[in-house]
Amino acid sequence: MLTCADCQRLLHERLDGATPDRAALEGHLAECPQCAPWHAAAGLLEQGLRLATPPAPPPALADRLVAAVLADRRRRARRRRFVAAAALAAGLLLAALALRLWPRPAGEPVDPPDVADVRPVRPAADAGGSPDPVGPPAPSLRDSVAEAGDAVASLTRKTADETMGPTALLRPMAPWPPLDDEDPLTPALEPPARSLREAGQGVSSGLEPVAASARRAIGLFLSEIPPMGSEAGSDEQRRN
Amino acid sequence: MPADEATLVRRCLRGDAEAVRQLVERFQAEVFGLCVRLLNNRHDAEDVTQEVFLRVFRSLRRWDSSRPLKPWVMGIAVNRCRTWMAQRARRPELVDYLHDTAAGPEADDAAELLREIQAALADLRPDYRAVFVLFHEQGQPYEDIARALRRPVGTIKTWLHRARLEILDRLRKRGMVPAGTTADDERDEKGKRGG
Repeated sequence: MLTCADCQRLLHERLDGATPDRAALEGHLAECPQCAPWHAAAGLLEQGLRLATPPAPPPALADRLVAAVLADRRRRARRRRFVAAAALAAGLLLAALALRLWPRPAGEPVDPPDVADVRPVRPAADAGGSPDPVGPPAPSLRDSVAEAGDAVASLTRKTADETMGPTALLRPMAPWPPLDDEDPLTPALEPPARSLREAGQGVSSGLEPVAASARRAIGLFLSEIPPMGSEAGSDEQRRN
Repeated sequence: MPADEATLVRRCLRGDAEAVRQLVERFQAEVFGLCVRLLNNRHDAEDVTQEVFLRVFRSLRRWDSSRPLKPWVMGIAVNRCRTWMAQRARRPELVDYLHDTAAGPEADDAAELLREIQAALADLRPDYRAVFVLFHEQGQPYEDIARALRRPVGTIKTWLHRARLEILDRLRKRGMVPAGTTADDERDEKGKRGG
């Protein structure tokens, strides 16, 4: 005997295309007022699905679809080519800019030196040593920094020499006037030595209160420290 | 069949226009039919069918050649229809009432039955509708529908059962079931007329 749950299951099996046990199903449907309308409706649905024709596409749809797909392909291919060309152009532009703006140490020739001049000649470790296939090892960071420091120092020295050289040449041509000479310009233009001496006196007089205070403080501190001998004697007493 | 499909896809990827046509003609009826059923509008269905094929050919390289092509194509169709329905929900809907209602040669009862089934189908949730159409109208097996919709087979069966029950219930309540089949059916009808 079928239950309503079995009947429900058979309903879906029937709509799935299976052929259920007709006799058992008919027996249950004849007696069950709950299940009978569902199976009647299922019969209608099957009938309707048989009658229904799937929507047919318009006759020219395939042509339109093919044309749209091919046009889309051409458009995307053009866009890919454009993007590739733009990327190449941008890369070349960046490379040119980088070469142009790359900082060059002063005095370095504009043209790249000959490779044979640049490559250091490494002495062979032994007499039968074969040439190094990899080439010279890359310099360490310490060497690079030292080399850069030397370059900066030599550049500074060179700039200083270039500045000081002509100035030194001017010195014998414009000697300082003697300090003791009576010169009408003396009151207006004080000799630098005198100015320096007065400046030194001003600084020492300004520091005098500080120095005196420091002297007094150190003296007070020293008076508080017991003599070395008494310290050693008290230690002996404490130990005994 | 997968080997044949793989060859066809390779030809399409090489840019063979004839292969493109073959692939379109192989699937266009099913894609268009699904779109019509899901969107209830032939013009929308034509537009979405075109979108579906554009997507199919753009992503053809991503198709797994060890699996059948049809569920993959139908999955794209379902997704495009969902997107279209979501966009259409934000604007007034133009339902095409004239399509496939079997007005004409069929008898009045058959035409009415078809209209009722169409209306019940249109009221279903889109997921249920897609499963129902793919199974009952296009005859696809559960496994292929599960692949197309990216859901487990159990979920597909549950959705199909619910879709059927909703349609059957509507047929009962609309008086399509012959009178006298049930007592409670008449009770429902009386209640509906009284209410």
